[in-house]
Amino acid sequence: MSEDSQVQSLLPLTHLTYHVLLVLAGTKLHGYGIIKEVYERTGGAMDLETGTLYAAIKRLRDDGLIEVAQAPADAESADSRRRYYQLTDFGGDVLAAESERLAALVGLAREKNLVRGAVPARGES
Amino acid sequence: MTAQPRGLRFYRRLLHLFPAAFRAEYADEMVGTFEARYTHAMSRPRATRLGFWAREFVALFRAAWQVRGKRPPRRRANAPTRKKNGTMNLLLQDVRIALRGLRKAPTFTLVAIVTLGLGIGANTAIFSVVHGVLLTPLGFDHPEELVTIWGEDQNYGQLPIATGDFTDIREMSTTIADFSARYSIPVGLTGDEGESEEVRVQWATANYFTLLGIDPALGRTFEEDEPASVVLSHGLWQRRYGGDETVIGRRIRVGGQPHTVVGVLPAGVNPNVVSLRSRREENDMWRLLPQQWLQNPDRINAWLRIVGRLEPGTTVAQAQEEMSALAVHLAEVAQDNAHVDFRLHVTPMLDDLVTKAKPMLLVLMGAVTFVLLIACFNVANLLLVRGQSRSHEMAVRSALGGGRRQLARQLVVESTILGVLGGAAGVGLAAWGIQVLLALRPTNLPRLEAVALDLPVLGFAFAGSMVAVILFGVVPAIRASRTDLMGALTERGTSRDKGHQRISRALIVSEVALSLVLLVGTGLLLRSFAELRQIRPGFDTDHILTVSVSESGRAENREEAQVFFRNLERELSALPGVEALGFSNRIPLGGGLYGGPWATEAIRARNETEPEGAIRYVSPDYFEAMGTRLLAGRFFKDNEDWEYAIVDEKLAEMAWPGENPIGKRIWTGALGRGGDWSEVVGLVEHQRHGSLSEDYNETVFFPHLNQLFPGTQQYIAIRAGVEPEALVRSVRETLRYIDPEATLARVRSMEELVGNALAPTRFALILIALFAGVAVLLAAVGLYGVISYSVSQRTREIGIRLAFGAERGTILRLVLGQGFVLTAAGVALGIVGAVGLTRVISSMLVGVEPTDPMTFTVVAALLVAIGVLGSYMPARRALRVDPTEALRAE
Repeated sequence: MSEDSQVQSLLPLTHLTYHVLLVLAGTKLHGYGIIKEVYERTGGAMDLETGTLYAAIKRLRDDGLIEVAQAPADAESADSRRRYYQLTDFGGDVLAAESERLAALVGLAREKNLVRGAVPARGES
Repeated sequence: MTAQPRGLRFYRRLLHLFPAAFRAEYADEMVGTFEARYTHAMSRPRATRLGFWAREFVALFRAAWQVRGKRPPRRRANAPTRKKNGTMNLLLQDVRIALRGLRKAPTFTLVAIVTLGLGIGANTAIFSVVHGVLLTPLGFDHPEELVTIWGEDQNYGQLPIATGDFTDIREMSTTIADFSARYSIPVGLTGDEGESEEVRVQWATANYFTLLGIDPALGRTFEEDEPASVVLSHGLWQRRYGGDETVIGRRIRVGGQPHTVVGVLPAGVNPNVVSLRSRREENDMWRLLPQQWLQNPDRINAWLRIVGRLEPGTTVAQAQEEMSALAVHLAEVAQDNAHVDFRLHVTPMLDDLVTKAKPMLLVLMGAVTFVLLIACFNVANLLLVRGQSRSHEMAVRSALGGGRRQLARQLVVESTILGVLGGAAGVGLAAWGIQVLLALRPTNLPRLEAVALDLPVLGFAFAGSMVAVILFGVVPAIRASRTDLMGALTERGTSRDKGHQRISRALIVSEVALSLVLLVGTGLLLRSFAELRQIRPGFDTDHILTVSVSESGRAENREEAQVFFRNLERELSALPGVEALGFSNRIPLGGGLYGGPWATEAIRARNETEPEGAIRYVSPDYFEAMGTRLLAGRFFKDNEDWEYAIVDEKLAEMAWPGENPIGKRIWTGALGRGGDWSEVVGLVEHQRHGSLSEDYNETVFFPHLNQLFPGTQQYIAIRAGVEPEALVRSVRETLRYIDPEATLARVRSMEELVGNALAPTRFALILIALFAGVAVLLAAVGLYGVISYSVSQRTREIGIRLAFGAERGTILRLVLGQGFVLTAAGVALGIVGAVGLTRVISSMLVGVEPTDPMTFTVVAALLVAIGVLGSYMPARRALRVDPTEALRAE
């Protein structure tokens, strides 16, 4: 299987997976950091329980989307229990592919004038 | 706010839900994350610890399922859909389907859960008492080694031991490592700041506490050479001294004598062991039973209560063998009346304590098992009917490839869920039921402090639920899985239907039979209770107040003690509301024994063994105060002494059958008295002393004056023209006025004493009646259900009959007849069962035979009536069948 078809086979991502990958994009976070970030970015709509998160982490590691990272130099604590996670290259590809898919979907919605506050599509005014 | 270390430990333990490999990888991290999340979550407004835990909990379970789910790493778009083949998954699926099914039939589910909850709850509540009273070991060191030793002779089935015999037993025994002897009496407690009160003091050998294995919570216990040191019970220490630790070393007066407090016993261990007749005393204080008392060679006066600890590795049977041989030896040495047919009995302490309670508890456990059986049968019936109405669904599923085993498993899962939910409802009911049971305060049950809804009891509830599941779930499951495909799909399952109805009917017949047994038990106890209330115990049972008064020890001699009691009598008699009052050394139903040998001239002449009777020392007005009737002669007069005696009818019948006892002479060997003869001046009716239902020992009464010593305790019976309780205050004030140090205790109205005497019967009656009521209700509901179903199945038949001109009365008879046959079969079966089973309650019955024909007849008629009533409602529905409607369905 080519890498592209591997990426495609994982789509669509669940809501939860997408958010976890999204907060890890370009940064390293520990478990609680992921929970906090997701909570803040979704305006409190998504408050992951510990169990939920780690079941997801296991699945994402098994699928090769994320990996354990070196603790960043500016880590706020030296707590050895805190392990940091980052996206793998493959994980980055999957996140990008899913984002494109979602963007395309949003584009479709926009054509139907469903996205409030958006610029009207060409040809309509 | 950070999570408690306990909470974190608990969370870590929960992680065991995950596979070991997952735990090794993530457990530490997850605990850390959990802690951080907790801290953060609690800082939000409106956050509750419970809500947080609940969410984390549920998420953890779901995550564990997911991780354990053996899912392929990620579902591929072109891969076949996930195959659920793990047993866990199958089961989970079954549970989901079953829950959905139960939710869709809320009435069925609710009725089944309530029915099971009643059965399991009642069983759990009664088992908690059985467990606490009969099964929980006593809270002493190696309680299985502790035994009590009682004597027996020709007159008494159970006797304490005389000091002379005890010395020999102690020296000669090789099977019993250590003995302790003890004896309790009530005395006045004074000399501290508190008001004088009566307390129960136990005289015990110095090894009493080490033998039981009780360490004092405060201070120490007394030594061999400390006759004036006392140890307080935890209860007295709390109640009277407010838990003050400086009580150690305090000087108090016990029975007028100075003593020093040296120790306080711990809470939570009941330091009392069994006294006579399975009774456990509640002692407030312990003091030394001096060695010199034990050295008394007397073998006649048996007063020592003996407890022993077996040599390690020795059995009770070996100890019993040794004691039996020792009893023979003692009888040979003694050669007296107290050792005729003399025996010694070794009893494990727990057995001794629960002897009286055991039969009743086992009967209640049996009764409550019947209720559970009936509940199970009812639910089985519900499931059968439900299986019937779902036969179409089952057939479709079977036709679509659902295996029989799969269908059966589905039903078993459904039953198990019902069982678990019923069990949970039962535990809730039991928690409440135990409170009610304890509130009924069955005075004849020892060790109620050990009754609780603890782990073994919960285990029992769980086991009971599972047994119930097997009872009600399996047969319907087997039947339903044998689906007749064609029949069910074409809605013509007639042969199958017959089989189902046969089972239903058998269940109903059993239910009626079990209900009948319980109802007969209730009826017999009800008659016994009525009988007990009817019995004239030899005295009046209302408007009498009884109290115990102890002289403070201030009197120097017998004359001064007499002055105290005479003053008291005069002052109390003058109180408004007091109609008569009398003194006695014992009060009927008030507990305690007091007796001695007696003889007539004829008995002496024939040189026979002297009978052992009860002896009472009473004041002249005692009989009048008690309402005890004079049958011949006269009562005592003031200042009369022991040259006169009054006997009761029982003694008169034994001593001088058919003769007038007045003017006859009687001898007694009462304590402190030589061999004088007294003249019988009066004959009174027999007073029942131990219980309302049993005759007591024959009794001889003497004037009480010579029995009044410094420190003497006497009972006073006060006949009140007002409510007895209204007199208590003025009696207390009068006593304080005469001597502030004298103690008043055991303030009880005769009605209260009678109530206590009725308590065991009332307790059993209330519970069995309750169980019988539930049983009959369930059986009636079951019968109603079965008849209703049968009517609905026969709608077409009834329609045809009506179309052909059948009288409505015929139809009514048809349906009622069906109910009648079922009920009558159950009644017949139940009567056979009841004849065999009511014997187990014969010890609780008074004035009625276990096979009392009247009770059986009334109960049978009642059940048949209920049965007919239960089928009348469905029968009326049958009458409303519209022939054209019924036929159109064809």
